[in-house]
Amino acid sequence: MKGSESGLTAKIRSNQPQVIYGLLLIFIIVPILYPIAVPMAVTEDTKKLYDFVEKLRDGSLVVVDGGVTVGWWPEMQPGAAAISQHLFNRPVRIIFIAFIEDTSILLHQMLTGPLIDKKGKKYGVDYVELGFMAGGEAGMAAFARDFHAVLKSDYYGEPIDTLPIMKDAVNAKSLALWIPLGGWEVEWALRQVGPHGTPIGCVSLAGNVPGFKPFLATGQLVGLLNSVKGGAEYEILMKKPGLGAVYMGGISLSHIVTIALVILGNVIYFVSRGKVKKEK
Amino acid sequence: MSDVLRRREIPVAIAFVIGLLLLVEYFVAVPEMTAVARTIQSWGVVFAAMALGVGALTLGAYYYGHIRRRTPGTWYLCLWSLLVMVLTITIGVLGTTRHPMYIWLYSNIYFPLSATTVSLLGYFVVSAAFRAFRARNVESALLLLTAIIVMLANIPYGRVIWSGFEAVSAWVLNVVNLGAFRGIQLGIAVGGIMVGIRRLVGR
Amino acid sequence: MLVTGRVFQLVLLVVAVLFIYITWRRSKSGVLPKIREIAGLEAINDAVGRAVETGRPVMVNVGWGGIVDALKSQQTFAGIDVLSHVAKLTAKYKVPLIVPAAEAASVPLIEATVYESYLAEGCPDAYKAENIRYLTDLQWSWVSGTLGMIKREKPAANMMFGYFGGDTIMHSETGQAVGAIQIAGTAEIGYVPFFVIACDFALIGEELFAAGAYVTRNAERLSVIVSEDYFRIVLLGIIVIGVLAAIAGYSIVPLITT
Repeated sequence: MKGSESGLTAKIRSNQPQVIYGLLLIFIIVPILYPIAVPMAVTEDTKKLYDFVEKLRDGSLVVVDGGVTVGWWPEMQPGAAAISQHLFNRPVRIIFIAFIEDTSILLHQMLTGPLIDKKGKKYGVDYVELGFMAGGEAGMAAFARDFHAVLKSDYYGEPIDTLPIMKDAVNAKSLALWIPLGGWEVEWALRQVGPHGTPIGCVSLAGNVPGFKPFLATGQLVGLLNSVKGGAEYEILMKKPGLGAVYMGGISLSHIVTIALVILGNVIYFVSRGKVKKEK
Repeated sequence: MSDVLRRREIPVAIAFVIGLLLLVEYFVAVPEMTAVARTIQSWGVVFAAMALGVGALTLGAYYYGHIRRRTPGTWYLCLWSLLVMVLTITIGVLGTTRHPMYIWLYSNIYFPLSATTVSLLGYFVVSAAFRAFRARNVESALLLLTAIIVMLANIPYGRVIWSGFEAVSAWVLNVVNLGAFRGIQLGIAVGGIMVGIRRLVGR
Repeated sequence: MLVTGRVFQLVLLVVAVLFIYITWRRSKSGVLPKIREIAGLEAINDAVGRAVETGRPVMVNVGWGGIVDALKSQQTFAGIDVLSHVAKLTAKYKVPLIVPAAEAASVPLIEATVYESYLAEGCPDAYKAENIRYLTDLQWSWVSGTLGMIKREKPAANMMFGYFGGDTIMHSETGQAVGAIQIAGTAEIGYVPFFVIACDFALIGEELFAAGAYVTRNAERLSVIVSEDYFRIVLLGIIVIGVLAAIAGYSIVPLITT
């Protein structure tokens, strides 16, 4: 028995990464398959963005700007869907556009899928998909200056001049809010859209959130959703649980596994350091 | 003639003139300059779109080179990549990106592969945390403690353990982190400005 | 005439250009400005030395920012500056150098940089074009390729200087798993902590921009670093004045947003 235990310990030690990955896999997959409901508090940054959208005047123009590569979409989707739904619930007009080539299709799939209830809003009048615009930050700068100069047709190939929503949508100054989704998309918006005086509120990747805190403090960002967690919080405010609530179960347990492993690692470190000191 | 065209001074001069025009237009409110800047920016969008096409051609040429040379271990992978690339481009151009086959390729091949690669990030972060987060000294102990507090504040279960995690995490992010990031961002912005000016004058 | 809200920015830009000009003129005398030691860059020689001892290659990764995007390219150019220096060392000590490239447009520049470095060391024949490996322009496809490359090639030294995003930890962990000494730097501050915890040496923020000047010891380039520091002192002064004014009950924000 003793021999097999030490053999098991040795096996775990030599396959350490695989053990860690296995634990993580289990604790992420199980809560997604069997969602666990745990009460969540809503952070100030999420509340600010929600309140801003709630106070938008009727008929306001809002841009939702998708800027993530496809791999990051699962992290963005809960927040993107929640805020898009909020915009559809309100009497505002929405322009969807992407400055990263992947996101135009993702936004289209989100809008035509089961996640969004468009509340009877009419395409071309209340909302429009402009598809992908090349140029990255330079493209955003050109678009913010004059929508019609650089973009001639929408996602479906229809000339944008024929769409009623685009008659008032001239440049960034026409907008009540610009919502970039992603990491560097938010930075581009701060540099290229912000100077036009357009309020910016974002759905950010988790890794970029600390870097956006200074902009929240100065008011250059009116609010921020922190990736999946922000999306889950927004769903709470909307009183409509969705993907965010499902994913938070897996995220929560994986965080606990990580903390437990870090503590275990430190215990092992201090125990072995103690042993080495004793031997000396 | 080709010697003249190959000289470094010509592209530097073009970049300088265009950069200077856009810079002046940013600060000076003259309608004629605004119109010029708008045209330049529109052309920038066109060039960026063309760069995507050039990228695809270069990639094709690279793959073709490996296929022709039958580079061991690589040529058949390049052949497969080239075939998929040509198929996707053909469908996209002829049927637009709304074509069901294009959407199928995008949703069932590209999306899962990309999402899987990104999801590996989680595993790498956990194994790095397990390996590297050691309380070897005061600084690393502080780092460890801060990381645990912020992680617990990010999840609902943290509130169950102690309701104060959120307040402490908010203080760390909005005071300590904010000040540090502001300083670093200022530094990076200054570095970016200086490098930009250097590039503009061709140095 | 001047756009409202941008006058102060124009003044700062003029000050920045003046500082660059003054320090550039001073650099013409050939006197090298003194800048503090950057541990990561000092360790490059040791890293190449490790590669010589173990007979394993050196891998230099300049990130996936490419040279087309205005802001990402600055980091790529900084990485290429360091690549040039490392290429000279690998040519001198006859160590294989592998460079994974992420943008088609940057490949000729990387190839030319490495070739010229080998030429400068007098061994152009040692240059191997197949060691400059262009993978793809897409971030995660490129990451998959480079991780595989690290696992297969098992470099003794894995150097990463350039634009990196969420892939920082993946590169660092994979490099650590093959036992490489790792030196890395990126100006993407959200992802610098991953380099700090997983690499042996990490450059933080604008140290990456200083890297090219630091390793080449070029007086003109070092002068730009000095001008950056002068400009930072000006910004620091403005911040201190702003804080003191705020304490006294005044605000300098209207002045800054003139």
